[in-house]
Amino acid sequence: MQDAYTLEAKAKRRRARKKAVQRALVGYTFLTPASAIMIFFIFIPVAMAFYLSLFEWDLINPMRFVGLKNYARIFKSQDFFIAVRNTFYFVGVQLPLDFCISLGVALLLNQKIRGLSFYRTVFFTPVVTATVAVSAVWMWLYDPFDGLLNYLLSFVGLGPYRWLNDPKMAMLSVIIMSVWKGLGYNVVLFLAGLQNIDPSLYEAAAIDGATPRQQFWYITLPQLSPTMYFVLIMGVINSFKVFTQIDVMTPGGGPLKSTLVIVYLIYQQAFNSFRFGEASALSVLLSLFILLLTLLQRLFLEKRVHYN
Amino acid sequence: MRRTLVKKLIIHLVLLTLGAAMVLPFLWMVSTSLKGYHEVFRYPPRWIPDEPQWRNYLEVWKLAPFGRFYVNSTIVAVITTAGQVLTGVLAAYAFARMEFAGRDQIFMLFLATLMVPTQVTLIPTYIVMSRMGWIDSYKSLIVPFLATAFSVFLLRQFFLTIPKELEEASIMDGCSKLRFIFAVIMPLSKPAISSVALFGFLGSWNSYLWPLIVINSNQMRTLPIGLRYFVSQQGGGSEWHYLMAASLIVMLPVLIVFFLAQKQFIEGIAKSGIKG
Amino acid sequence: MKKAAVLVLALALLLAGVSTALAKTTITFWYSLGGNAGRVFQEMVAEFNASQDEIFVDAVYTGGYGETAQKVTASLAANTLPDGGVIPAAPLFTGRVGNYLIDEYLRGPKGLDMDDFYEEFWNYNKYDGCIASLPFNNSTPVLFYNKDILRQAGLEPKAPETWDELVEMAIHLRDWAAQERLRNFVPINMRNQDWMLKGFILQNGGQLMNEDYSAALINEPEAVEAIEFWVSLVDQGLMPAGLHDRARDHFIAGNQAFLFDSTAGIGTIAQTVEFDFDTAMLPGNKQRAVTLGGAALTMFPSTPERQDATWEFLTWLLQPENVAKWTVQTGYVPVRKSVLESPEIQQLFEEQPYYRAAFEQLEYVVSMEHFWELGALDEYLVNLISQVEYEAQTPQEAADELVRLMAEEIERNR
Repeated sequence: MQDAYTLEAKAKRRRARKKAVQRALVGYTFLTPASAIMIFFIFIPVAMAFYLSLFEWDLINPMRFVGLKNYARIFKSQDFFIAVRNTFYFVGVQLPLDFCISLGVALLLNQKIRGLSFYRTVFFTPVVTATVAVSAVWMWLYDPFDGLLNYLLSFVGLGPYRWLNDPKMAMLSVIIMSVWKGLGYNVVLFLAGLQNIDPSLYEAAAIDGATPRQQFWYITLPQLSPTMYFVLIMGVINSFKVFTQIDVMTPGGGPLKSTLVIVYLIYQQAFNSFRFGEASALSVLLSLFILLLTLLQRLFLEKRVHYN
Repeated sequence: MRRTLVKKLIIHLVLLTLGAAMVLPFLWMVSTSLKGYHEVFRYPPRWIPDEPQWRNYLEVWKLAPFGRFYVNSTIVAVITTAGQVLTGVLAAYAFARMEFAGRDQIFMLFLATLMVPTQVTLIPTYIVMSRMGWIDSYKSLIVPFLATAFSVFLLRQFFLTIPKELEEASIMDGCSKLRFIFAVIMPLSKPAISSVALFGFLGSWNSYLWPLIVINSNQMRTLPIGLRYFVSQQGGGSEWHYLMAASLIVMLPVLIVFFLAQKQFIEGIAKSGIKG
Repeated sequence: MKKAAVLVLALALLLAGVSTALAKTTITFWYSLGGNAGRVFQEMVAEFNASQDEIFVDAVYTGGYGETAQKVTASLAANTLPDGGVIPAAPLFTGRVGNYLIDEYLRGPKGLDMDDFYEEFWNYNKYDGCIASLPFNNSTPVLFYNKDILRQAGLEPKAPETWDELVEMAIHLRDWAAQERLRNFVPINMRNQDWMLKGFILQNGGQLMNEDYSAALINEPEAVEAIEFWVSLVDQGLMPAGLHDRARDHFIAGNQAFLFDSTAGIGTIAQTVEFDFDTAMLPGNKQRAVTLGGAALTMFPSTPERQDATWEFLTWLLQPENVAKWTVQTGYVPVRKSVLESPEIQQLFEEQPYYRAAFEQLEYVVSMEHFWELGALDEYLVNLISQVEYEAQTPQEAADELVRLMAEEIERNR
């Protein structure tokens, strides 16, 4: 015979469970709109991408299963290695240039000078303008026949260069334009980070007799490291995804494919050559690589970041 | 004292030089956009055109349906942003204030989507759109972006800072959860919501690769893609004055909004970085 | 009561009669013609619609060749194809997926008088040996030359007829420009360089593909010689490397003596240039030869009623008087032999003599059927030209690589 105590406990548990179920239902309902979008447009496509990469398909004729052949083909294709090389070239030059210039500008701006917001606006303006429009303007600047850049350089006896039409200069031209466009963003981030540094740290160091140089290395940089880390991670991820300016300024991948980057190769394979299977395989590889890079950065760099 | 003055002078000099480099391309763009066809190629090139050809802008407007591009971009951006805010608020509220089984795990899943690069979802989503016949329509530009983990994350972080007492008061009042969200939470979350709206709007407005592949007809193009095809239509060749005018037409609205709302813009960006 | 019933019946019959009279078949028709050609096409569609009551053509502009191709591909996948269109590389969207409606209709009771069309044009519209689309807006490459510049440089204002003459004149121009210290002057440049190179290869007696399109023959001696000739133009400073997309604009700007471009550009160029120019057939070497370009009239599967209606429209477009009108107003070459002799064309030659060369060149047209890997071939040719112009590869190396890539591509598809 169960005593009243356990009966009551059981009823309580039943009520509690009912409530939990109710709460879950309400919670899930609130989550449904966002989750539906995520499921249909992120999770399922990711799974599809892996699946698709094992087939050959041009969207018109039936799909053909080829297993890992697409991946094998990618690693044997010249275009892939060219794209990898070009992408690394882009990231390897654009990122440090951007980082250093924007950090430098931010440091200068942090020197309590007049016109801070004016300068900040000037540097940030290219960031908000549409990349397509900026690309068109730079195409005109870079024109081998009548462009302004060649004209200006002629005053110092340089040029004329063929910029976007020269296999040896095309990528560099894209990089210069990209740095010009993007550095304002990091200037703002670095400036905010700098302005967030507790001035009392500097005062204490000055009292201890630290030189400005020492102050920079032992206070400024460490305090700025969270921002630097953020800039680096975002910079790497975004640089690997470069596409727009290449499609506008050097459609087709540039002279001798010198501006063919991985995302552009994916685009070409899918939408020019209609090889959706191979393009999916490429995109899977790119994504895994970016993931790997981010994880590596987390592992090795995060411990050097100085959080307060 | 003098050393500081000299130092400040040098700093200004450097900043002005770099600043000039930032501004020069824009000035040259405006200059070219006001020139006549033959003046564009005059050597040596001049900064100020003989007679400003304002009609270049009219010509450009006729050569490609920029008005239509604007309409398309606006419709897509507004609906997408509204969607992101709505879905974001609902989901963020659930994550921040409700308790239910699996809440934190699902939140982790949401965050995981931030690590997924757009490239990998590009092709499968395109295929789905194509099979459903959504290619070349607003649906394909809007629906996939009606919710982002970024907005959910931002809003949740903000909601966590809202005092719980408010909620308890509302339960006392017998206020339904939804009404509570719209009447109380949202007005309180203006800064977070405007950040979400800003990022969402800009993201949609400047979106390039996705509209490039899902839109085929000129009438449905958004501004960036319309301009890109204008570039290739002009052969990337001699009609630079039209091309520069078109570029300015595309840049102008965002530039105006930016100059008016500089502070919010820049501060929004700055804050996003500090959080890290 | 009876009267009311009779009245209602009469009314119903009347309505039925009226509605059958109004029952039109509407067909959707995509066209990839921009600018002037697009306008002319729209006018012709309006004329067709006004001339009869049974069919209404809803014509939609779908952008240039590239965009239209993408749109058609997406529609094939989603099954939202129009009833017909002016489609680039049409056989790849019809024959390749088993749609030979055009061939069926041609053999049917309402077929066309095929003999009046050039054999080459039928060839161009075949896939796997069967006709899969109809010729309509075709073009050939043509040589534009700036007579004013030639005169200034002390040359006869006439076009070269052979490769050697071309080089001779170009060298003279190059040296003259250096003497005059002309900024930005370029003797020769070519647009659509893959198309032009195909012409050069054929002009040297070479071949592009073998009989059944299963292998590329571009690494054979005659073809490689043609590529070497191309490179020599760059080496001698007669043609800039890698600036082909600027060729037409540079010519229009008056900074270029020779332009190799499509007849489809004659209209635009004639309207924009401010100097005396003319056109000529491409210079030959062992022979004269050019390949065809352009899109084609297509029909997609639909209801029998709409297919018949589409065929009506297509045959109307190809009636001699309409072909003549189309040719005269757009500059595309006439696809019918009889049209070449017509008074409208003769008048065109009188008023705008620079159309003459294109039409006279028709007897030198060599055409290929469309085959699956045609798009790949064009892409590889563009790469080949890039490689040899920038001296990243020798002509033989580049040609061998192209043949190898084509073999892989063909292997993949068969």
